[in-house]
Amino acid sequence: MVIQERTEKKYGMVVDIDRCSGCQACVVACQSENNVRINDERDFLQRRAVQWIRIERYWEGEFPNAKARFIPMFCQHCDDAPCEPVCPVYATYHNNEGLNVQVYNRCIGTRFCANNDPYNVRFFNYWEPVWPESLRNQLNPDVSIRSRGIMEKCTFCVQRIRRAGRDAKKADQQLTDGDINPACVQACPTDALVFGDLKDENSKVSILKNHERSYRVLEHVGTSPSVYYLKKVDKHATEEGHEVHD
Amino acid sequence: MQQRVQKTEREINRDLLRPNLTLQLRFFVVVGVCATIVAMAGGALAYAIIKGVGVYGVNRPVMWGFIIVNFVFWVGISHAGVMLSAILRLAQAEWRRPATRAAEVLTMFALGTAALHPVLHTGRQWRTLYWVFPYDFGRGIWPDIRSPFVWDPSAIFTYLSGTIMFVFILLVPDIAVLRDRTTGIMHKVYTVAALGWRGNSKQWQLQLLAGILLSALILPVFVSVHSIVSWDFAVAIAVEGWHATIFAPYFVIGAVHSGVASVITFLAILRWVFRWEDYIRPTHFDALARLMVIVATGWFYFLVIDFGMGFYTGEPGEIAVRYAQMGEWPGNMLFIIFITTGYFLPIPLWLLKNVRQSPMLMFWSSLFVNIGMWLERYILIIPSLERKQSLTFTWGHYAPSPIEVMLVIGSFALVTLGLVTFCKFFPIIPMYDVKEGKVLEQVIRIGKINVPAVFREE
Amino acid sequence: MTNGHGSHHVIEITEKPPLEVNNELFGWSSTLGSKYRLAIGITGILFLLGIVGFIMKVQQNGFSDYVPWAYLTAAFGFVMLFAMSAPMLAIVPRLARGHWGRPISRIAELWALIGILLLIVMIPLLLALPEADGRNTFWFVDKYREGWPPGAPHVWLALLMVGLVVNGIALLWTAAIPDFAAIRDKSISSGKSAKLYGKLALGWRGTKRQWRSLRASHGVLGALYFATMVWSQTMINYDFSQSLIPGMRDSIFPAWYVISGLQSGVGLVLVTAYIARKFGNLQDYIHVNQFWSASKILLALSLLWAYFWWSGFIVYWYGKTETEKNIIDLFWFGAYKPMFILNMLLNFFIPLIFLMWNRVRKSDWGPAFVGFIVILGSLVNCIRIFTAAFSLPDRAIGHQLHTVPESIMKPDLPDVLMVSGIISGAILLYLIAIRYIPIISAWEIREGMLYQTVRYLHKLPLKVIGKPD
Repeated sequence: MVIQERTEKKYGMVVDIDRCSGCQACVVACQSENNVRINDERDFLQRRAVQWIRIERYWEGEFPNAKARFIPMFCQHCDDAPCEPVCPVYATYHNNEGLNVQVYNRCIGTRFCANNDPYNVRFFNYWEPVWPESLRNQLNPDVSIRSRGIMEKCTFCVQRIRRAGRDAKKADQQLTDGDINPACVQACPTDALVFGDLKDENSKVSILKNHERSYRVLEHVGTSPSVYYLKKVDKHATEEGHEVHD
Repeated sequence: MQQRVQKTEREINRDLLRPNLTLQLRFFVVVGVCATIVAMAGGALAYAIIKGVGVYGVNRPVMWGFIIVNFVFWVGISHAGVMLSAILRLAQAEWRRPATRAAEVLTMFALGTAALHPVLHTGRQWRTLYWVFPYDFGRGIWPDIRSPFVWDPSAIFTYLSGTIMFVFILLVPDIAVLRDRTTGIMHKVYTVAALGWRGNSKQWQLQLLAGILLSALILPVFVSVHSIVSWDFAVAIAVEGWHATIFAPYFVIGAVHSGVASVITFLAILRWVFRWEDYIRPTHFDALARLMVIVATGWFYFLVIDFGMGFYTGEPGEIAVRYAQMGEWPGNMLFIIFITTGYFLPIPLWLLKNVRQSPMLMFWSSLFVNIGMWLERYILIIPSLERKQSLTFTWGHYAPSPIEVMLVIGSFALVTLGLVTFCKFFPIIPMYDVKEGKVLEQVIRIGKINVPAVFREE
Repeated sequence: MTNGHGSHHVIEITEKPPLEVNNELFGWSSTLGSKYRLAIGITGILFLLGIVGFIMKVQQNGFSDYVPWAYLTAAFGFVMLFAMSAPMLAIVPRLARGHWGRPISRIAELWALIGILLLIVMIPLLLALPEADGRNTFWFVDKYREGWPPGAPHVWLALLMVGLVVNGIALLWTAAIPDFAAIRDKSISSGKSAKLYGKLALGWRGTKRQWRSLRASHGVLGALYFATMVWSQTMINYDFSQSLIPGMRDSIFPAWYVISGLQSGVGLVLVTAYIARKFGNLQDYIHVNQFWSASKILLALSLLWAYFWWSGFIVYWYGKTETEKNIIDLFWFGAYKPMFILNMLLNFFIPLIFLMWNRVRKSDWGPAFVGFIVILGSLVNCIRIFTAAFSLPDRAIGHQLHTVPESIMKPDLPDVLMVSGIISGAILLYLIAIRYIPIISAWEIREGMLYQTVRYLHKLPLKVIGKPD
C-alpha cells in the first residue's frame, strides 16, 4: 500500500536561523519520536552522543561583544550524497522521494558513510542502547530500535511521512502541504523549521528556498543538500571574516 | 668483493635445512610467547564483539582508529614480497637469491593479517564476514560496487591467492628435498606437497616459466592492491586532507618503502638466529639499502607534493588539518618522529658504505623506518578525521583504547607466529636458487684483478 | 636452467681492439654524408621559419597577455620533457651498474644540450606569464597577501631551469672528458682541434685519482640531475598549467607529467639509437640488447602513465564537486576528448600491445617505433594540457572552475611555425653537436669490452658479464 502511494516527490526543509532561539525543543522531540538512545555524561565525554538533530553553537567576537550563533544541523538528505556510494552493503541509498534512507538491518558498521559525511550528522551505536524499565513504555512503536554496531541518522521522520500517506489514502484525499510534520518541525516554538515537498511549487519550502537570505551549508563540497538555511538578520554583522566561496 | 663463499651442494643443504630437520627449544619458546599474545588479542577481540565496538577508542567524528591504521600498515608491509621477488627476478639481479622467499612469505602473512582488520573494525563483525562476498546469499542485494570497501577484499584476496601460489610453486623443489630427507608423518606431508617433483629438465622448465609468468602477472596486482586501499581514503570528499589524487602512487611507494625495510629486518634476524652469515652477506644488505635510498627519495617526493598541495589552495579547512598534523600537540611530536625515523635518519646513514654493509646497523635503521611508516599512516588518517571540514563545532579528538593497542600488538605477534612456523617447516632461503647462483658464477680476469661475473641467460 | 626459448640466437657483443674502437668512433663524424647535410638543411630552414613566426607573434600580440603564447608553451613543455628526460637513460644504467647502457649513454646525455635552446625560449614565456599575485601558485601564498618570495614564480622557475641545464651540460661534459682527452692525444699533430679538445679535457691524464673523482662526479651529478629534472618538470607543470586553472587541486598531475616526460625521454633515446644504428652504421656498437633493456623501462613507464592518470581520474570522478566535474570536461571528456583518446592510444595502448611481446622487444625497430609513437603522444599531450589551461579566462585565487571552453584552442600560423621551429631547433642542435662530440662514449665501450665475454655452460654459449663491486 505504501509503495503505491510513493510518487515523485522531493522532501526538503528550510531552517530560518533568524527565528531559531537555540531552545533545543527540536532535539528533545526528535529523541522521543525516534527512540534515540539516552545520552549520559559519559557519552558526551567520549564524543559518542547520538543527537539526530543538534544545535551547533559558534561564538563570534570577543567579550564583551561575544555573540552566540546557532545552527540546527541534521541530515541534509543530499542529492549527491557522498555517504551513499561508499557503503559496501547498500545500507544507505536515495529513494525516489529525495530521502537519504538508512536500512538498519543491512548495516554492518564499517562507518565509511560517517567518514564521508561532511556535516557529521551520522551517528554510530558504539554501545547497546539501554532504557530504564520505566521509560520503555515511551518508545515509539513505529520506529525500530537500533542495536549496537549500526549507523543511524535523521530520516525526516519517515514513519510520519508513511503514516500521513496511509491516512490520506484511507480518507481518499491527496496529501497537501503541511500534512506531514517531522517531530522537530512540530515542536519548534518559533516555526524556524519548515518541511515540505520541494517539487511542489506552492509549498512553503519551495517559496522560502528562493528567499534572498537562503543558502546551503558547505555548498562548495557539491553535495546538493535538500535543506536550505535562511541567514540571520543581524544589523551589526559585517562581511569581515566570511569566506567567499564562489 | 661480493663476498662469495665457496660451498658444496651438500654444505648448502645442511646449512639451510638445519632449522627444518632439527628440533630446537627456542622455537617452542618463541611460538609459545607469540601464541600467548595472539590469544590475548583474541580475547580482546571477543570482548569487543560481545560488549560492542565502544571498547575501541573511536568516536564521532573520528570513526576510524588504530585498527584501520594497522590495516594500511600491514597491507604496506605486504608489498615487499612482490617488489623484491618479481621485479628483481625479471631484472635478473643476482643479489635477490637469498631474499626472495623470505620477502614472499612476509608478504603472505602480513597480507593475511591485514585481511582480518576490516572485519575487526566493523560494528557487526559476524555479518561482515559474508556480506561483502560477491554473492547475494538470498537477500537479493549484491554488494555495492561503487564502494572502495568492496574493491578492497577483491584486491586483497587476489593478491593473497597470487602470493600463496607464488610461494608454493617456487617452494616445490625444496619441499622435494625435505621429502627425501624425512621419515614418518612429516615425510607423508612433504610427499603430498611436493607434487611428485623429480627434478627432471621438463619440470624445471615448467617451474621457471611459472615463476616468470607469475612474476609478471602479480606486478599489476601489487600496484592495484595498495592503490585500492588508498582509494578508501582518497574518494572521501568530506575529509580534507584525504581527497588528493596522489594517494594511489604515494601509498604504493610508501608500501614498498616500509615493505623492503621490513625485509631487511627479517633477513637480519634470520642471519643472526640461524647463523647464516655465509648466505645472507653484507653485500645483500648493501644492495637492499641502495634500493631503499631510491625508493625512499621517491616516496619523499610524493610526500612533499601531497603536503605542498595541501597548502596550495589555502582553504581554511585543509590548513586546519595540516596544522593538526604538523603544528599542534600531539601531531607535531608525532610528525617530527615520523619524518626523522622514516627518512632523515636512515637515508643519510645509508649513503655510507660502512653502514650499508653492517647487518646490525641495517637492522636498527630498518626498524626505525617502520616505526616512522606506522606513524605516517596514523598522521594521515587520524588528524584529518579530527578536523573534518571547517565546521569546528564537531571537531573531535581520538585516543586509542587498550583493546585497540592489544589488537595491534596481537597483529605483530600473529605475523611473527606465521613466519616462525614457516621457517620451521620449510627452508626460508631457496636452496635451488642459491645453488643456481653458484653454477652461474664466473670470474673475469682483467690484468691482475679478478672481477666477479655471472652468466647472463637471455 | 634454460631460458625456455630453446632457439639459437646470435650473441652480440663488441669485441674489437680498443684502438680500433677509438678510431672508428672518433672518426665517425667525418663519415656523415649527404643525408646528414639534408637533415641539417631541413631543420635549419624550419628553425629559421620558427624565428620568423616568433617575430610575427610578438608584433601581433606582444607580451601583455599569456593566452596567445599557449602553443609556444606547449612546444616548450614538449621539448623540455623529451630532451631533458633523455639523460636518465645514461644515469639509470650507471647507477644500477648495468653494462647495457654503455652504447647509448652519450646519445642520451647529448640531449641535455637542448637545454640551451630551452633557456632562450623560456624568456618570452616568462615575460608573458602572469605574476603570482592574486592567484594560486606553489609558493605558499597566503590568500590575501602578495606572492612570496618576491619574483615568484618567474625568478624561481628561471633559477631551476638554469640549474637543470647547467647540471645536464656538466653531466655530459664530465662523462665525455676521457674521450676528449683521447681525441686531444690523437690529433696531437693537428694543432687547432688538439687545442680545443685539450681545453675540454681539463687536463685529463687518466690517473687513478682522476678516475676516482670522475666516477664520483658522475654519481653526484647524476643523482642531482634526476632530482632537479623531476622538480623542474613539476614546477613547469604547476606554473604553466595547474595554477592557471581556478580551483584545480590535483597532486598527481605534476607526477604524471614527470612520468610522461620520462616516457618520451626513453622513447627519444630509442629513436635516436635506432637512427644511429641504421643510418649511422653503428651496428657493431649499438646492439639489440640495448633496445631489449630500454624497452622494458618504456613498457613500465607506459603502464605507469596510465596508472597515474587513472589515479587522478577516479578521485575526481568520485568526488563530483563542480570544479572536479568541470576539470574532467576540460581535460578529458569535453572539447579535448579526441586529443585525449589519441593520447591514450599513443601513450598507453599502442606501447602496451607492442611491447608485451618478447619478439618485439628483442628487435631494434619495435622499441624504436614505439618510442616514436610515444614522442608523438607526448606532443599531443602537451598541447592538450597547456592550451586547455591557457584558454580559461579566470584564474583568481579562491575561485572555482565554472565554465569550460566549448572548443579547443586553434593554432594560428605563427603558432605552427614556432612549434615546428622549436622541435627542429632541438634536432638541429643535436645534429650539430654530434659533429664535434662522439656520439658513442668510446671509453665506456672499451671499459665494457673488458667486462663482457662469451663462455660455454654445458655446451651452450652464453654471455658472461662482470659485476664489479
